[in-house]
Amino acid sequence: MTFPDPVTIATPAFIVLVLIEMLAVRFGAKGDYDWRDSFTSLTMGFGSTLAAVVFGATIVATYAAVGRHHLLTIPITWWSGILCFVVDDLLYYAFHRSAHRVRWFWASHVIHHSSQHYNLTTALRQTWTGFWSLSFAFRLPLLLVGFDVRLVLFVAGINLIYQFWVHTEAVRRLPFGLEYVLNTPSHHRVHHGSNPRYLDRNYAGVFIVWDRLFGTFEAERDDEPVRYGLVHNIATFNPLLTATHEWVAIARDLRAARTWRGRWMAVAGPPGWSESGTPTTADAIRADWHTRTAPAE
Amino acid sequence: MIFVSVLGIVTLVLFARAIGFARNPVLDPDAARLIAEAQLPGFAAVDAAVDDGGRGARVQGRDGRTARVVGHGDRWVVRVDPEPWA
Repeated sequence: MTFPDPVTIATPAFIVLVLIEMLAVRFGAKGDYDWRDSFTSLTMGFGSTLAAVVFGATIVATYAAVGRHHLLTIPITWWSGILCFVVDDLLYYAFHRSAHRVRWFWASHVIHHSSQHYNLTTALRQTWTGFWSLSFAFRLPLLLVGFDVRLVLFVAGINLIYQFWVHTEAVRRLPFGLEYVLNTPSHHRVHHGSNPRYLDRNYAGVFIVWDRLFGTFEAERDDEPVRYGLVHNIATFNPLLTATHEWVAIARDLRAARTWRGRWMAVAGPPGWSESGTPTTADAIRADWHTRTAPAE
Repeated sequence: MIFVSVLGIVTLVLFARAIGFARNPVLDPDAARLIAEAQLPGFAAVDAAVDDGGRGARVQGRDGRTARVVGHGDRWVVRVDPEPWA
């Protein structure tokens, strides 16, 4: 059985939807664009597809090699497809949470959060260095359990496509209780927020239930608009600098570290950890914010 | 394929610019204070001075820090300025 590449099929639709969103915003829908920001986002997306071409064969070969040590033999059928999709989404949650909590992983993922805008081009602002951050490794359990590598790659593509459309301000909230089950534009707006209340929340890919289960869910509040971007926003539209700025910062912090703990934390600690100065980790910022605002709430 | 992708990017970017997503807003002191407070955790602004034709500002913090607000497209980037306020 062969599977199509869902992302290749969906790419023309991505472009059409970006055009529709631009026009909708121009005619009054909620949202915003900046042509320079869109240039960076789209170029990052293009670069990430080139990176996938360069490293894709290595990743697939790794998946195939690991898959040879599978515990079970799971057939490719409708129920295994659904099961694989759900478990893959759980593993995506683990990957995504790690990508925000471990600086080595964050160095790649930060690119996706480096825009101060939130629109459909932001969805395409993807890393060029995910291979070095070992993001592909988070799917290895699926292969070890016994899911076919073709099925794993297919559901990964579907997961990625789902996450495209949640990057919009034009959709407020979904009806029929879907907000309880699915990752939605509202939930993902929170994820892209740098407000202390919203930092490091809503890691879900497709199913928001993982955040509800593991205590990382935060609902979007109408009285607190999301401030998109990073705690320390970058001041460049240059795609190369955007792709590498956190790696450069890691190298700088490694060079400046005075202890082995400092060196370890510069690589594997949470983003914002500091050996000498005031930490600006998400936890520290939230704790400080709670201290300052608790009596008012 | 590469040529088509590059053409697609250029088309979308130029389209965005053509329909008006190309603002370069300018600051006033009140806006500079709010932006600095929003982007620097724990920063409380007490004074601000706009420069660079409204595309930048220096903001004095209650804790002695000075924030530098710089235009970045239609948004702003804030850094702690190593230069003291006055």
